[in-house]
Amino acid sequence: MIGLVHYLVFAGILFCLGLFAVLTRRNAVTVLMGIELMLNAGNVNLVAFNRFVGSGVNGQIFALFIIVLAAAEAAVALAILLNIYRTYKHITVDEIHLLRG
Amino acid sequence: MLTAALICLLVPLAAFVVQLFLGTRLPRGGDFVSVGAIGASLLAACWIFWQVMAGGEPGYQWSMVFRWVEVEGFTIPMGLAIDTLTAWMLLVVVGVSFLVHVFSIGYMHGEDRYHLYFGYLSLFSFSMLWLVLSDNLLGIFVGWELVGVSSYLLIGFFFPKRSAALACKKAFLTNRVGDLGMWLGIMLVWKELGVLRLEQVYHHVGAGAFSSEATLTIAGVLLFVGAVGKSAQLPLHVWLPDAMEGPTPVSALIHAATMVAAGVYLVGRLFPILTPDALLVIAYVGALTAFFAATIAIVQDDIKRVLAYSTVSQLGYMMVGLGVGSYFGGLFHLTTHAAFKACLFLGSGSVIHAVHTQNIWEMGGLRKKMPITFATWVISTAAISGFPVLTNGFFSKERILGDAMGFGLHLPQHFLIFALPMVAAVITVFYMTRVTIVTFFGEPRDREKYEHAHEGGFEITAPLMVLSAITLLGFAYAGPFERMVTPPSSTDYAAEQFAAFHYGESLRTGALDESHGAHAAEAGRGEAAHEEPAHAETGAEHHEAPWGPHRVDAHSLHTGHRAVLYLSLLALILGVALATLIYHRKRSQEALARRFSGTWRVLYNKYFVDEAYQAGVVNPLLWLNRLSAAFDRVVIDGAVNGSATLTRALSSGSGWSDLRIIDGIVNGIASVTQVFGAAFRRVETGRIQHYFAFFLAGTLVLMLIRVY
Repeated sequence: MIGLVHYLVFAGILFCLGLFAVLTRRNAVTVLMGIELMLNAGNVNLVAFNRFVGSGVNGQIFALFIIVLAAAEAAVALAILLNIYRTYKHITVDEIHLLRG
Repeated sequence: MLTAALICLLVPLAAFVVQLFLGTRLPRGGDFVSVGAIGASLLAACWIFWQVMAGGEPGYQWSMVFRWVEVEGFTIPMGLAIDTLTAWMLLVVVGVSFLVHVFSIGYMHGEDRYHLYFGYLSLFSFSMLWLVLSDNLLGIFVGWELVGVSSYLLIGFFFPKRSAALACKKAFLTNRVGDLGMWLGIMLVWKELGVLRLEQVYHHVGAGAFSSEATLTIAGVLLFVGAVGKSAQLPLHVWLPDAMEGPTPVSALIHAATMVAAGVYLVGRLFPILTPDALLVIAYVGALTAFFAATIAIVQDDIKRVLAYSTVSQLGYMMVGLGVGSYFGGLFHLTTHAAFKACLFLGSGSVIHAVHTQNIWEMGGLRKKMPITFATWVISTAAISGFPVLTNGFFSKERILGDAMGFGLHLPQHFLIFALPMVAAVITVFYMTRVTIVTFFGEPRDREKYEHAHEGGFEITAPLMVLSAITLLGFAYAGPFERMVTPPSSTDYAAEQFAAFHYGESLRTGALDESHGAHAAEAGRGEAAHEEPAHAETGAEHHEAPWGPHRVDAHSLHTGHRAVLYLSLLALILGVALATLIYHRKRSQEALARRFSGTWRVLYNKYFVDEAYQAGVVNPLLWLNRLSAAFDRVVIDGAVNGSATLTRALSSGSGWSDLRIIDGIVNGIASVTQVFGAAFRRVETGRIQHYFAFFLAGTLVLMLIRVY
């Protein structure tokens, strides 16, 4: 029987994978993809908690909002990346440290 | 009348302004502007004179008052007024001024600053007219000072010459001493009466508004001190001979005819308010001046200086006249003297212009070369000597001496007031004859200068001829003058007092009534008479007993005048004879000087008055100056330098603390910040993933804190 813990463990693994991708990948697009993974891990948590703990559909609606937000964020982030690419001719995040102190 | 008076007054001022700003640009230095202006003034003055004489009554004919200063509750009115005396004075001042302007065209030709000279002449004419036209003491004082300034400018006109610069300074400072006295007198009048308009002053004094007769005497004497300065009377006469450094026409205008007469004019104006004591002071000063100045004039070698001392002496006569109560004598002598002395000065100017020296011993025999100058000179000399009937000097001088003799006979303790001028009359004839002989007769002493000499142009000779004509016409205007110019009187009381007091008047009317005679005799017993309480107490008492002990009965007056006539004739003959004997017969002055070497030296050095002033006034002042300079240097400078040193010490202390302490703190903070900044900047790598890692670490730490 699949219970709440399974969902939470799954979401934790997903979040850690996303986090690993964000911290280690050098390609900015991959970093963005890591962020998407982390966001969706959060979504899984929201839906699972609603199913097992709360009542109604608040969690699901919250998840839908986050998906929409993630789409918007991705659009903005990709636009930024496009501009970075135009300037640097690459999107390797290691090399982009103009704001170094 | 208003228009005429304003034209008369303001046109010369306008000419001065024009000369000051445009003089250099006008053709001929703009001399026609000044001459034209004074000509317009002359026409206006003649018209005023005609109007006043047609009026036929003495006293104010016209007046105008405006408020000069108006502060809350305090007003100083200024005013112009014309009475008979003013009308005469206008004619004298403007007439002489006009002739001098004309003469100057020839005399000053080609001098530097020619336009300014004429500007200054215009300024002087304006000032003198202001003085004459003013109807109040303050206005007179303003004109008085303006006249002093223009005199200063004109004496110092040749200021590159050191002696001229010194002379104008001396004249100005000496006048200042007199002006101080006059100013104090004006303030005393203001304090006692609260008014300065002459009409009101006469009225108030007549009504007994002065707190005591002694105060009135003091006020009169103080005002007279001003006249002493301006009219070069005895203690303050020293500036006038030095003022001869100015151009000769200026000497004729200012230092013979008009400005120096201002003092006499002032005394004449104040005549109604002068007490017997004040008049006595005036008479003594005048008598001493007349005598001592005449003696000095005997030995001077400079033609202008002789005339200068002669002027001082003649001014003394005028003061004697006024002092003994001869209003007509004093003021008429002012008028006649203006004519013949201006003529003499212009004559000397003509001579100086011809031979280029002022030393009479370098002249001689000039009568052949300069006949017009010689003739006019002789006429004026006759006038100053009081040559009978033909000259105007006769009428004025005889009147003064006659009244003085009456005074002296009546009050024998004051006989000196008659004796000194009488002796001075002999001396006057003597020195004038001396100058005439040495300058115009005999053989030329300096052949080269003699050959060079020639009569000046028309503008030089015309004024001489006009002035000598006026001198000869004395008999024509002596009568009208005496009829018209009487002491101003604004109340019946004052009029009565004048009639009683002024015995020139009483001579004319022929007799004094019994009570007056008796009173005169009673009062005349001694000078102490008017110090008695009955005379000095209140205004009401004054009405009963007008102060006037100087009155004399008609008999002694008539005797006086006839005797004086004989005495004067004697003086004339004696003077001419002595001078001719000594100077015509080629007995040189040196021989005489050797015989009376002591007297000669005293006279030649003008009684050492200048030296006395140098030792008694100037040197102590210089010592005082040096003392205060030393005080300045040691004490004041010491204090200043000390405080400067102290400030410097304090400043260097606070500077040190600024540098070390304040700057230290500021720099310390800055370097601490720098160290920290250098340490922390390594955190800011600019790599997004590092920030992410920090963020994660921070979140983990927060979570750990939350858990435990």
